[in-house]
Amino acid sequence: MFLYTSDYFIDRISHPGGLSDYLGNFFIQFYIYSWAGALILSSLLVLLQIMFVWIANRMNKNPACYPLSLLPAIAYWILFCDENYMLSGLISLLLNLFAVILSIKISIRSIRLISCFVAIPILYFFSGGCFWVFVIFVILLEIYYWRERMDSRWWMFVLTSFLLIVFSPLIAKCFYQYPLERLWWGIGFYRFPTIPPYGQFFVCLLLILIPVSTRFFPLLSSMKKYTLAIILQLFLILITGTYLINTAANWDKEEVMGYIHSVQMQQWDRILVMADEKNPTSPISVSCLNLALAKKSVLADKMFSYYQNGVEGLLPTFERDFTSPLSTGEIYYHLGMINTAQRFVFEAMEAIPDYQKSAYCFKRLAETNIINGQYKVAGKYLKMLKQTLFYRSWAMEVLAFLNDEEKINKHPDWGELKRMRFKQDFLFSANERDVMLGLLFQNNKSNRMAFEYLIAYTLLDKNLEHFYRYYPLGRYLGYNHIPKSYQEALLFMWCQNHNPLRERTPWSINPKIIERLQGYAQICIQQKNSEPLLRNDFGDTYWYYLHFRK
Amino acid sequence: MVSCEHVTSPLFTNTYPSIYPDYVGVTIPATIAPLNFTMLGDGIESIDVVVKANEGGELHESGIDFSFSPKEWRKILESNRGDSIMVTVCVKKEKKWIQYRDFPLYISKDSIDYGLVYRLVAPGYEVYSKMGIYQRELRSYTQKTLFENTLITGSCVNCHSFKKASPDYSSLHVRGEKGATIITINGVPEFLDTRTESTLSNFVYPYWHPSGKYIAYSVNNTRQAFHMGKDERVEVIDMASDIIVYQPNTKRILTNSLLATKSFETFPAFSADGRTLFFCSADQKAIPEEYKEVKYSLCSIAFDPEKGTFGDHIDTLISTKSMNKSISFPRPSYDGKYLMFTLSDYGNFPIWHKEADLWLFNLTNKSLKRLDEVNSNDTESYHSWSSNSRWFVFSSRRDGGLYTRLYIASINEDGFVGKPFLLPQKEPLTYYDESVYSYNVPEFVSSPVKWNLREMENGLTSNKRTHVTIQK
Repeated sequence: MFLYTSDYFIDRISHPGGLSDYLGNFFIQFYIYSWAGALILSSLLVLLQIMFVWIANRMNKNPACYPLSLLPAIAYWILFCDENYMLSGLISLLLNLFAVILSIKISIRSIRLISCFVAIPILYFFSGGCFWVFVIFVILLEIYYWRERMDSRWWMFVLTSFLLIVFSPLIAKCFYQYPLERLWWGIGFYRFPTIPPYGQFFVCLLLILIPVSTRFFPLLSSMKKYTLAIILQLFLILITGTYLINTAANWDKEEVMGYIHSVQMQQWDRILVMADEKNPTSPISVSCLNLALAKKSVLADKMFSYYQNGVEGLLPTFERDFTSPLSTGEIYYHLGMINTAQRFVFEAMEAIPDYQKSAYCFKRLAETNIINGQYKVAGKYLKMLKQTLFYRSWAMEVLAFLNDEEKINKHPDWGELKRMRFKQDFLFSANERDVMLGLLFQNNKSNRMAFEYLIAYTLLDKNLEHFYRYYPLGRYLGYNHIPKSYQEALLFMWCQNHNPLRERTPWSINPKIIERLQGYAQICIQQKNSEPLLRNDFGDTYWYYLHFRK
Repeated sequence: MVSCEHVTSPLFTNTYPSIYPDYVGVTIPATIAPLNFTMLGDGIESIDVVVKANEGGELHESGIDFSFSPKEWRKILESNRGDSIMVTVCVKKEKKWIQYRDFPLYISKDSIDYGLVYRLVAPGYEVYSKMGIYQRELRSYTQKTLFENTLITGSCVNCHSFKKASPDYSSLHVRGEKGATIITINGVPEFLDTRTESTLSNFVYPYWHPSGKYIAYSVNNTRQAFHMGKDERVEVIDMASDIIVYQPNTKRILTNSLLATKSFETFPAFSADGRTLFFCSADQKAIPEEYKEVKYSLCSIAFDPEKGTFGDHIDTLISTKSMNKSISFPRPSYDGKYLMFTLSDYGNFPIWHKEADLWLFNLTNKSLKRLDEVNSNDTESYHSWSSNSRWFVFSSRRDGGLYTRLYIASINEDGFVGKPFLLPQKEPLTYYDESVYSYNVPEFVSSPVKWNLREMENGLTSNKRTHVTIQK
């Protein structure tokens, strides 16, 4: 959460690398739109390449090696396939390259060297762990660009610079409560504080090694050789880069993040399109899909048209991480289990490993507190959201709702959720989620989503006894037909003791479903290894789930 | 009534100004940081504040974001110790000045300790983010970080405790992979592994013996539960709990069968003379079904500090059977006169109980008093005494309902309790609005805490621990 306040600015920059973190967070706020995130990342990577080329050209101008200047940016692209590499790392690098460019502008040697001494600790404080890149470049430029002799002044400069590199983090250690290795590597460059950003170190090495090594490459005078070298390099970079980026990207994780984002944005249709393109399988993705199906009022009809992985794909168990409770909290929110939704979203925010806060979580917390009548707490969150870019207008609007029960009751979401939430207090029980869903429905018998989740829970749990017991609770919910999955379960139970060909079922079962069950039963009886056949023809039925899904 | 300077033709109103924090009529120590405040309400164009005193002149500040000069503030407070000063607030709205009724600030003649040590942590459930133990100097707004969990990644710090506000004796739990109980005596830290085969858990709630030779701890097996009703959030329930006394110089645990029964025993606290150990005790109930039936009484047992032995019986000082409530955090004053505790409907985690209030038990005449002077409609919970027993600090959720804030109240030698004041900040409204942390376990300290962080970090990361043993 990026706040436009002076306190936030001071808080963020008051540790080594703080300016990089601050600027990183500034850009990250735009990630709310995926196109903006892509634009920012690509622009910064292009900037990295441009700055690098500018500096590298001062060290060694070999046009035939130009494609190699793409390597650091591509390497960083690969790093960004791991979502835990933070933007602040790239910004730190850019700040240092910018400082190198500035130093080149100083033509008087003594001024240049003194300003470098001054710049090293300043760069350390503002940009963080990449500050040594500046020192290495300045030293190399003294040799290759300024062509200074390696005299005593040069050695003095090198020695002092290295001492400043060594001592800057050591001095910082006296003032900041971080392990020394984090002060070396950079505090905010990788989301998980226990993992050093080795990848960033590799990119820094590339930045230094490329211009140094290309000095040893011959200058190509023939146009033919030059063109060939360029084409060959570009070809290799394209092939290798594509392969590495593709390998580095964790598409399963991307899928889960896509589902969670869509749930947060309440893009239910998009979720269904995503699921139709590729059936999700992880519990979190499936739970997001089931929520979308419920919000589109087709959960009971269509849930078995998609892969289901048990009750964990309906209401996942709480995990102490910063992603899964977000989407699970959304399910509880839409169900009307407001306290649980509030807990999950709070925990997701607290679990962010680098101790950041989330504007989205604040928004949801403001809403849960409004629904629960905790207006002062909601007001606190809203006042903070007023200091953000993308939630400001929403927060301003919502502030007008505080303490106005009538207005809240008329709100399309909050009014409804207020009516749905529990009126009686009891303790949450993770092992009795079905019981809680039952109580939630009893609490408000128009809560169709609670009913459908209760029934879905029994079906996914393969507890047909409970299904049969709870199924009649939905008779006043205005269904114009018995949903498909319920028909399949009812028919299956009926067939245990009756012959559907001879006896009429007590429910209005679609004849096609009866016909399909006969087909299903026939294959089961006739085929020894019936699963693959049944998967093809009956994979969208409850019967298949009941018999073959674990 | 004085009038605001530079204020022309004000309209007088007989109501007190609506200010944040509510400092109207509070009793403060002479060495407290300036009580800056903000006028609440819309359409305020300017504020003019005059502080007048019998001695030491006056203060005059104006502007929307005024703040008192610390130097002048200190001078006026020191000159009026044991007296009061009057504050006149004028507010300009729609180009017209309104002058509110003057309100007094009572300056106690009793001094207060150097500062407070507290934990700042988000009021969450199971997961924790950044947190730490911080020290606040009371005569200024300076807050110093004593220990932040960024130092030992993934750690949690809690239950800091000092011997009668002396920072030379401290106990601190660091939880996590590299966890330990750190006992620091005269600057020398010791890193303890407090698990034993015959105790329920690591050490939990601490309380120092006045001699510094013992620390009483509870050992608890707890579970967390979450409410589904709109006004409740979290419950922490004892599944089992006992009390032990740790002797730092022998590294031994003193136990007694009377403090390790099937009932729950928790929240130990030594009396001022060190010869009595107070604690809370509740009958065991079926958990979670009967969690609302767990109600803790105030009990005590004799303790012989010379021999390190316990008495042969338990005294029940306040039985919850009569009150049908539950007692937490018994904290005897260091002058031996009182014992303050938190009373809630049930259980032992009153911070999440809106009904939780502070009560005062007179140890001399055994009378009991609800502290209406300091209680609110929301939670009042953890509290501790200043070293001279003339002040107490307590945490309260009255300001916003979720984020715990610290309030300090005076209690004079006759037992008269003054109106408490919120811990001052330079810009209190902005500070408290933007803070995403709750104040936890406030403890007075008589001078700055001098923990050697380097030693602490090395000690924790080395994983070398002193193992405590049970005294046979």
